[in-house]
Amino acid sequence: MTPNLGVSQAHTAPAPDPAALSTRRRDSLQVRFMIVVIAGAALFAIGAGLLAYQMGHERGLENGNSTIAAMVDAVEKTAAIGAYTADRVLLQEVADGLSRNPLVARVELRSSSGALLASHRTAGAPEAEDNTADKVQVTRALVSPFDANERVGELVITADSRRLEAVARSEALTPTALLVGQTALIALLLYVVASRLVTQPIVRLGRELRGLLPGTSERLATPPAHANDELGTMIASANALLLGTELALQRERDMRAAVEKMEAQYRQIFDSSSAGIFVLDPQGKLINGNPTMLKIIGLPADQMKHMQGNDFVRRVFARPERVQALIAEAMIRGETVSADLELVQAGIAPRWAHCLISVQGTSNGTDVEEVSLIEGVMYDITERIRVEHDVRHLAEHDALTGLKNRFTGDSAIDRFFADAQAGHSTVTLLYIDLDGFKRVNDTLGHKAGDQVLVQCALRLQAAVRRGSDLVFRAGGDEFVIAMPFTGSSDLAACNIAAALLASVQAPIVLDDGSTVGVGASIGMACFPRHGVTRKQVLTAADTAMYEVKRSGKNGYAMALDASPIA
Amino acid sequence: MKPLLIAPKRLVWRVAGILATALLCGTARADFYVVVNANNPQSALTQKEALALFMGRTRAFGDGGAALTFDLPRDNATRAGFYHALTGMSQAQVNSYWSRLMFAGQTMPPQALASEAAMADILKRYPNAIGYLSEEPTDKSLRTVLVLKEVK
Repeated sequence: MTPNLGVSQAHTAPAPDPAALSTRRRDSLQVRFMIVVIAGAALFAIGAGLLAYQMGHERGLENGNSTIAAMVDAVEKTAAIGAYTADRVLLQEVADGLSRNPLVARVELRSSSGALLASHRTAGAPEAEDNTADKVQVTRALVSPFDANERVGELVITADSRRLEAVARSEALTPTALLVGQTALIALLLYVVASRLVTQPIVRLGRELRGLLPGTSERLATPPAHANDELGTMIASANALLLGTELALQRERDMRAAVEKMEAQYRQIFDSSSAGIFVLDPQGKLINGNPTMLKIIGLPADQMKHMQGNDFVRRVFARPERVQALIAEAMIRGETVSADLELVQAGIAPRWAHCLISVQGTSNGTDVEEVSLIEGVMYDITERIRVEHDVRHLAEHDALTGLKNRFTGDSAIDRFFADAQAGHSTVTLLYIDLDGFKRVNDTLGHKAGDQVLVQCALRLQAAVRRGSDLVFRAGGDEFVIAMPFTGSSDLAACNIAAALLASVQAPIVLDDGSTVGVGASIGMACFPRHGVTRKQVLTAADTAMYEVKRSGKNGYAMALDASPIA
Repeated sequence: MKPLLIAPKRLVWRVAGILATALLCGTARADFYVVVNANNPQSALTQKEALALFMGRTRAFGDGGAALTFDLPRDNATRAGFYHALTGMSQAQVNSYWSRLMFAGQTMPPQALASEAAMADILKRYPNAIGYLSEEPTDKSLRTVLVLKEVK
C-alpha cells in the first residue's frame, strides 16, 4: 500500500491556487476519491490478504503433512522388511534417509515389542520430550511382508513443527504478497485513471467556474479529450447556463433602466404637476405629496418632511368634517368624489382648493370596505372663488354706494314677506327720497352728487338695525329699507324714521371741503297691513312718501290704510 | 506326510486345505519339501518358521540350534515355485526383498547350491542344514519337516 499512498499524495499536492484554498482539502473531490480508493483497496487487501494467508498457511501445513505421509509410504516396505528381519542397519538407512528431509525432526523405528531398532534425530530439532500440543507426528504400523496380519514394528516420524510452520508461512506469504501487490496496483491504476479522466477535469472546471462572475460573457473551454463525454456535456450545459444568466441579467438591466426611466418620468409629472397630489393613510395622515400640494396649502417646498405623518385633514382643511364626509362618500360610491374646500387660513384672504378624492382598498364590487390609501388631487381655486365672489357682489350691489341694488333688494323683500307670512309676523318698508339732491347735482356736479349719495347710504346703513334690516338703493336718489318684525303700530319704525331723517339732514362735507345739506322724505308701509305683495306695499310706501313731499318735504309718514283690496 | 505336533486346530485347517486343493485340482500337484538332516532334532516346521529361516529373519531352529539355510540358483525353476509357495511372492519380488537386505549388508540370503542333488548332498552332510527339494527324499538320512503345495 505504501507506494500507492506516496503517489496519491504527490497527485494531490496543491498548486498555490488561492481559489482552491477556499475548499477545505479533506472536502475536495479529489482527496475524498483518493481516500475512498485507498481505504477500499486497503480494506480489500487486508481481508483478502488475511484469507489468502490463512489458506496458504493451511495448505503449507497440509503439504508438509502429506510430504511426510508420502515419505512414509515410500519407505514403508523397506522398513517393514527391516523390521521383519530386525535388520538394524537397513532400518538405520531408512531412518537416515527419512531424516534428510528438512521437515523431519526425528525418526524412530521400533519392533513390535517396542524395542528401539533405529532412530535419527536431526541436529537442533526439539527434544522428543517437549511434547507440544501442536506436535506433528506420523506413526505407521509395519506389517510383515508375508502376512498383513502380523505386526512387526512401527515407524514414528516427528515433524519439525517450527520448520513446518516456517515453510507454511513462507508458502502463505507469497500469494498474500502477490494479492496485496495486485490490489495496490489496481487501486493505483484506478486512482490515476479516474483522476486524469474525471476528478482533475472536474476540479479544473470547478475552479474556472468559480472564477466567472454572474452575467459574464466569458465561456468555459471544452478540452478536446472531453468533447463527447459527460464532462463535455456538463461544460456545454454550464455554458448554456452562463449564456442564459447573461441574457437574463441583460434583460433585467434593460428592464430596470426602462422602469427607472418611466419612474423618472412619473416623478417628473408628480413633481411638476400643476395639480397638488397627496396620498394619505386610512387615518388621514400624510404619506406623500408633491411640491405643488405644499404650494397650494401655503407651505415652503422643504416642509414636506414636517408634514409627513401629520394629520393632513385637520391641519390643512378649514372644515375637516367635510373632508371626512367626502372620504366616506368615496368609500361608499367606490369612485372619485370632488368638492371645493376651504383651506385653513394662513393669511388674510380665504384660500380654496378643488379636491378630487379617491380611496384605494379592498372592494366588494361597488364600495370600498377597508381603506388602504386615500389619494387626493387638489387645484388652487382661491382666485376663481375670489372672482366669483366679486362678480356676485357686483351683481348684487350698487356700484356707487355699495348697498344692495334694486334687483337684490326686491328678492330680499320677497323673502322677508314669505318668512313673515309663515311666522305670522310683519315687515315694514321705508321709501326714502332725498330732498335737495337734484340741486346739489345740478350746481356742484355729478361728482358732488355721488359723494352725497355715498354719504347718505353710509348714514342710512348706520342708522338701521344691523343684522336684520336691509338697506338698498332703488335708483337715483331713492332708497328702500326693509325692516322685518316691525309693524305699523310699532314705535320702532317711527323712531328709526326719525333717526334716519336726522342723520341725512346732518351737513355733508365734500372732498373739496365745502359743506352741503340735503333732506329726505320718508314714506312707510307695512306687510300685511298695506298689502301682501311687494308691489302693493312698495306702492303704498311710495304714495306716503309723495304725501310727505307735497306737504313740505323733510318728514316721514305712514301710509294710510289701504282701500280694501279688490 | 507326517504332520506331527501340530496344534489340533491347525491340523484341521491343514487337512481341510489339502483336501480342498485335491478336490479343486483333481490331479496331484508338484509339492515342495522342506528337508533337514535326519539327525536334526527338529521334527517338523510350521510355514511361519520356515519363512523366518528362509527369509533371513532367524538363523536358528525353534530349539535354539543354529541353522544353515541353503538355496537353489536364481534361475532354477524349483526355486521360483518354492518361494512362491512359501511367501506368495514372485521371483522378482523375492529378489527385490533380498536386494534391500543385502544393500544394508547385515542380513544375507541363504547360500545357493548348484542343484537339488547338491542340496540333498549338503543336507545329508550337515545336521544343522536346512533346504528344500521338489521330490520327497527317500534317503533315510534326510527328513521332511514341511510340505508346501505348489501355488499357481
